[in-house]
Amino acid sequence: MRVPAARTLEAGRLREARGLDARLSEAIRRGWDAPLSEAEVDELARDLFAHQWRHCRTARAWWRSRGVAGASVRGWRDVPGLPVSAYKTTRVAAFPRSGHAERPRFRSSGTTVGARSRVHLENVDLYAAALVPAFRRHALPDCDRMRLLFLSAPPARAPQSSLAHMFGVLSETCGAPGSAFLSAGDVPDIDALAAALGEAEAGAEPVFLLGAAFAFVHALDGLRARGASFRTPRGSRLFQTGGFKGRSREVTPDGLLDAYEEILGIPPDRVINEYGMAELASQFYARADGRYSAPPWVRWRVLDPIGLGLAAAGEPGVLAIWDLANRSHCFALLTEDLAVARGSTFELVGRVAGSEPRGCSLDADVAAVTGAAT
Amino acid sequence: MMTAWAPREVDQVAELRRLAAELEGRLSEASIPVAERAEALGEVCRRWRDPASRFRRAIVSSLVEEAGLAPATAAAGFDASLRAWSPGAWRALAARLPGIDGVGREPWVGVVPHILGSALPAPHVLPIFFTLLAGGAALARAGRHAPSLPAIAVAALADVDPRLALRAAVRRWPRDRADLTRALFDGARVGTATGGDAAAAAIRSLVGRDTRLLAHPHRVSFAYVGASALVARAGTSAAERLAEDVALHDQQGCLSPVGALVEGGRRAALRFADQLAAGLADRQGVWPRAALDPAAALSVRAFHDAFAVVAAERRDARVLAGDGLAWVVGVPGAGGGPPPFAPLGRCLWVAAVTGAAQARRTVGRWRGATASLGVAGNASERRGARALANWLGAWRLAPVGRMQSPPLAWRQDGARPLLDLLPEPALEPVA
Repeated sequence: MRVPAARTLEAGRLREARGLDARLSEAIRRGWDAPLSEAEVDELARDLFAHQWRHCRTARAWWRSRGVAGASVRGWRDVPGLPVSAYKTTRVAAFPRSGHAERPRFRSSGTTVGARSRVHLENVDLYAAALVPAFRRHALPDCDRMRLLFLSAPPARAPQSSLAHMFGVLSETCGAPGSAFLSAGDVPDIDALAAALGEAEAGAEPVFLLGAAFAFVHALDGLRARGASFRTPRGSRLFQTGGFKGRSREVTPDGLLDAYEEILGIPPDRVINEYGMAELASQFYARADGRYSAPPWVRWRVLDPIGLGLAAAGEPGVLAIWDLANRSHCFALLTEDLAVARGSTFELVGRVAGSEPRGCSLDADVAAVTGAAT
Repeated sequence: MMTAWAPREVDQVAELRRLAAELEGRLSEASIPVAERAEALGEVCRRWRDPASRFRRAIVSSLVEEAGLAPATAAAGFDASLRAWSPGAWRALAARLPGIDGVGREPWVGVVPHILGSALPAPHVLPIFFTLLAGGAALARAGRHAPSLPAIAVAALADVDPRLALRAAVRRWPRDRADLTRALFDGARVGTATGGDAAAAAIRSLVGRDTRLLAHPHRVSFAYVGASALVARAGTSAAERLAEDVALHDQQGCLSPVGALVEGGRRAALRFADQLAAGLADRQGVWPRAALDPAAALSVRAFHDAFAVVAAERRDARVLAGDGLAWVVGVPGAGGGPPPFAPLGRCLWVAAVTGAAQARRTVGRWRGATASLGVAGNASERRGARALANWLGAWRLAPVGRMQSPPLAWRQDGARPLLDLLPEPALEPVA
């Protein structure tokens, strides 16, 4: 009996994908206890490159256009990052379209105006595998579960949000009874939040607030408007992610930290910053100093935006990330974020402009300066 | 006229109020007929065209040292602005004012506060000069991109007409000195602000409710290239002229084209993109682009890569770029979404259009945010461009190659300057 060629090819791809997923899961499981050596990262990067070259048309076309081919790749450094804008214009996936409607698909949050990214995942196993240990290490090193209060819609209400999905996984794996999603959309439910914080304050049970920075701005505005402030119990903490430019009024990072302490009773040393995006399976974490560190299965570099060589020490540049947990699409990404390398960590210093029409205004308006006759 | 601020320990708010009162006093003291004001302002601009003028050199220097433009680029941009600031243009503008013919009575304009911005000469000079032409006094805060430029302009005016120059004063203070910005607008009937949307919103929050703040939002411009303009002829091609419009002011102005709509299909658009790239490469040799800060460089990189990613997969898309991304021309593939926002810094897209509907789809997201449309083509194509400009809400249709030289009376929002926009309508007599 002859098996159709396409089916044979797909069976081969699936075998290869499963094998890679197993190896990557193991690499992630080793985590910080037995971190991958540089040679191991390179080996996995080579195999991921080969897999995505074969099965991800967009990545292959990009790498080919950059003059990179299989034989020339010795490790992650040799693989040019795919610009994240590719996710806005094309399907970036290392698996066939057939049946992908049932597969998880995330869209970027659209914190800046313009097209939103679409991220296609063959499954979310590696995503979850990468998420939980990094979260535990940076946000929950002192306990197994906490009462998690998410300023976000639940995953069922926001199935295309990678953040909602992330929070759903965290709720299941790290949430204590009383954990809840306190938002139906972008704007938090202030009544529910105030009630939960009041309850925590009265019961002396620490709480963990999690949300996007813009959601916290809304929440603080809402609590401030009703004159509410809380002394959350010792051990309470807060996880914030993402920017809020264009989503609500802009607030300085220091202003937010002050407000967390003043209104929620959470001091700056209990604030955890996360840097992630729909296009990444892994996340970066920073404390109040804003210095983000990567998990052992991720590599990053700050590059000169023009020449894409390494940025000079201390100079801002574009952040490039190699995330080995990105098996489903492309593991080498060139972000639109500006960062400065600080040893083994980086600071975020901005993101690409161009989200609004730009151009100076020829301001001079004589006319309007003429007044009524006296 | 001085830009230097008094030491910090001096009460700067009181000093600013004193200065405003002094300017108001000067307006009351001596009358300068509008014709004389127009002559003086026209003469200043005429002298600026002379390469030997020390004030011209100082303005170009400010654009180089403070705004970061290359010297040749700064000079070319200044000249492009000056093209329309002739003595005749100032006289024509003044003719709109009452009093020029000795019949009407001049309105009392008073002291007009200005927050100046941008890296172009016009937004630094014209708010002050227009105020003086209208019969008012100008009190301005210099912008951070070319902080010396407005004071140089006032000094140049003093060289021509010291009495008129005494009606203008320029100061500088940091953006976070809200108390000073508030004091600048305190009691003013009308004032202007140039800058980005966020800056305008911040200033608006500091201005009293009785003050009419004229803040101008960001705008962009496009070029419409008819099929007839693609035919090779003697002289400068449409692509070369468009390259000049892009390169002038390093594309930092609202009149700088950020995209070109090309009639005649994809092959025509690709050919035009090649020609435009050649033109931009040529301009880079003559008017080099300024060095970019990391954020601007990242924006240029992202613009380039948005096209490069598509071009890697599709033959109908293309990206062309100069060394060090000194300029970028992107051609989107057919059927893609609207082109991305251009980050300025000599980046633009070229899109093929085969009819009005497609042109509207391509630039529809900028409807209401378009300053001008450049056009190259025959009469019929110019009519098509005019219809597009009208639909976009653009108030200027200019020949490609002249986009950076708007008439002195042109306003971004299409309103006619001077009397056309009296802030308070006259009260009609009650029967």
